[in-house]
Amino acid sequence: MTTLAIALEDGFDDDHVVVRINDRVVFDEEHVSSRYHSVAQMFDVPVTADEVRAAVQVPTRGLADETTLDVTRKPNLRISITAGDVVFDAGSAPLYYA
Amino acid sequence: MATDKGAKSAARSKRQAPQTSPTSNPESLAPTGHDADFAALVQHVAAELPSLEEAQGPFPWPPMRRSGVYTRITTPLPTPNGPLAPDTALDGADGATLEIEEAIEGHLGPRPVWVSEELRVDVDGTFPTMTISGTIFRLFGGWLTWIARVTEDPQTGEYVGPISYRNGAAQLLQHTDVRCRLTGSPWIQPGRHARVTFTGGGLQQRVRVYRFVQSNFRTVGIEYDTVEGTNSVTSYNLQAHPNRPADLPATTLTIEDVFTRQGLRMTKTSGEDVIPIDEAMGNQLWSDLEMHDAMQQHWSKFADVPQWQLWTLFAGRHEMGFGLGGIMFDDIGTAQRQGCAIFMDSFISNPAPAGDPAAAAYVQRMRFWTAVHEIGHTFNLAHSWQKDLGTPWIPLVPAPEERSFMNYPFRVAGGPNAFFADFHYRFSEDELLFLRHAPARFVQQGNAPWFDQHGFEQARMDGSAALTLTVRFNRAASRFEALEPIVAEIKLTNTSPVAIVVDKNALISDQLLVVIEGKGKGPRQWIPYQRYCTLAEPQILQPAESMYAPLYLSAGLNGFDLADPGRYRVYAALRTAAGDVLSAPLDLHVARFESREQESLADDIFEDEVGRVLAYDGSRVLERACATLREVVDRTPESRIAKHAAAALGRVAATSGLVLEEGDGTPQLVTRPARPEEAAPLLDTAYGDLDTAADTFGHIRLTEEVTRTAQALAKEGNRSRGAEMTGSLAQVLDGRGVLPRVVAEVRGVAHTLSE
Repeated sequence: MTTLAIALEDGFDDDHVVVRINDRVVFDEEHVSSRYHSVAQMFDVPVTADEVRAAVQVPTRGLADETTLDVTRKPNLRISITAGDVVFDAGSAPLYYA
Repeated sequence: MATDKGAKSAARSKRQAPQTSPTSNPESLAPTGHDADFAALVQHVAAELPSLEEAQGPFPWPPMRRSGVYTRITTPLPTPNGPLAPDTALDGADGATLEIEEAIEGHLGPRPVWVSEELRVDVDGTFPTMTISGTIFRLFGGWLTWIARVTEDPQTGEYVGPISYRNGAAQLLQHTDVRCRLTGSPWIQPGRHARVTFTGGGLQQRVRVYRFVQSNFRTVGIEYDTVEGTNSVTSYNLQAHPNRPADLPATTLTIEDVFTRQGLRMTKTSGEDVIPIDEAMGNQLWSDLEMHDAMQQHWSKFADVPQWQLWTLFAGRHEMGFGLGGIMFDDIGTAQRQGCAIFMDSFISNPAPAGDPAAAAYVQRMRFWTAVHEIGHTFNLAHSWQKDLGTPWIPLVPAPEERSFMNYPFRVAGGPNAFFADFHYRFSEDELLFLRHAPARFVQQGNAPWFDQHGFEQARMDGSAALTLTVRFNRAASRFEALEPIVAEIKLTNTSPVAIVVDKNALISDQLLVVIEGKGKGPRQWIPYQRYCTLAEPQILQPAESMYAPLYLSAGLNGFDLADPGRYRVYAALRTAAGDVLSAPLDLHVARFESREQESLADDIFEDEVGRVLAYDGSRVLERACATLREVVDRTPESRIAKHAAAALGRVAATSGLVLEEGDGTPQLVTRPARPEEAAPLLDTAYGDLDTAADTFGHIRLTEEVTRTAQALAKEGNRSRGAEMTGSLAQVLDGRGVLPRVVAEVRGVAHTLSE
């Protein structure tokens, strides 16, 4: 069992956000807004596979995108909306905010 | 050198002829061994009394520290020819002008002033930004903040530079350049003045003389509270860890020291509660809402108004998890940026890497950095790499490698080791410029909301800030039941340092504009059923004093703009003699119908007559509307709207009243008797649970309605019920933190009725 850490970072503004990992809904909240002094949302998802598919929907903007990542190498995923697109940034650096 | 060489030299390079020796600053002492304590003492004294700083080196004379705040105030003087216009006092030669101004100041008392000016001189001392800025307040003329970046003229010793920033009523100062001469000895305060010559802009030059007031640019109070079982970290020995700049002094910095040495005098206020972990609900993890509640309950200075005060909580862990080291959680509602939290059970307590020579200091340092970082957010400082986001007050460039409290140590190239190797426990120059010189409302806790980009908000920021207008609810969540009448409270506060004259009836006059904007819908003006047309009645609003009024937002002459489920935003603007004042937006959410019962009532409720009966709190003649409200009470007695309906019906039933009736073709006034048996259950429905009633009616409206009804009951002979109602109301209001003056008035009514 590995833990995938997910952070919703920049570009959200009172949005409905749905995050699925391998088709399972792991986050579904309305009114998500970025906080420039912190992170909008942060949560951990236990995963059993080494490779997972992360899909994000932002119905309030008609946006949807997905990515595949190797959680053994990149267990941390930052998600932002930049220039009207969902942007994924997976890495090994821990998700720390203050 | 024991200070930030880079920043110091950069700042000095802007001056053409530095006047101070590099060794004349107390931070330039490089103490070793037993000298360390002495140096620490020197530094502490220097921070407390910044004007002494330059005297600590080997050549204490001439003392050079002149930075700080200077002021000038003018007010109408009774003269044989009438009041002395403010500009009369501005244009004279130094001596005459000063005599007049000082004479005036001596008689100021609480009287309103015509012109109040503050000058902030930032040209020497600790981390000078080579800036002179000013704030001008003119009664009926608004505010202006201006900033000039200056250099020292080697010929005259004056500080000169162009005005590069204006915010507010630009007409208050149209010159383009300043020249500032500092006079008097820093050691004798009464003789210290700044003589500023304003030139350029095609205008005749103008000279103004300001009197020295204090060395610090702002004064802030801080209170620390700690969650049970958690430690706080409010100080750090700068030499505790060997990975540091070689010139860091051997001293222990407190959080207050950090800010005080950079020009913001910070002092600890009373308090220091230990907060039970139970307040984080059952899971021992803190949400923003729980922290906000804790702040309201435990912070001795809590007030929903802008004030130079802040609250810091040391807690275990946030519900977002181990990765959140701290947060400025107060970014919801009207008075934001008043509180922050540091989470000791998070990554900031990660142990030092194996082999670290000072493992405990490594952790302490990270916790200390986090605390100051979060406090920096309460001053509206952004992260170093995000300076260009939101609504920067001036154009700013992100600085991802900056060694500032506002940068993440783990985000720079080389990580924390690289960061702390070159970190001097300070803010960057543009952050200092903001803290010391930006319009106070951008910086002050509880004032301009965090990073708000809304156009209306921008207009609010650009306007006069002598007064602050707030629209708010007296409830924790701004979520309303379907059909629930929405009652807000509007509050006008004098946020200036001087008394201001306002119209006593301003908040119920047509000078108040309220706009309701539904998400996905256009903005609509809320027009109440009634406006008061009164002669302006001058009232002096003292600094920090407020006036209030309820707003029945659900209905008005424009109909029911909050009828549909969904999200809304409410704004208010008020025209006053001191300038237009705009409120921050207030968000609210109307829930969907929860039952078919509610849905079937909606068509009848959203009728003009029903809106009027609810807004006016009852009617003896609009019978169809009253029948609708009776149906609401009968069919949905537990709903919030049933409370409003019962209150309107119950108040009318509780007392007799006159009605104009057509009798034999002739209108005549007829007395309708009280119906106490009908009133009793209605009043129980309305006010049986006064806490819930306070949520939905709001404090002002509830107080007005209950006291009015209680007095009506007493008039009909039921004094005991009236006394009981008002007594319970006083208790509930007291528990909800309502102004003691209001609680006392209600208690007074209860007492009178019980006699």
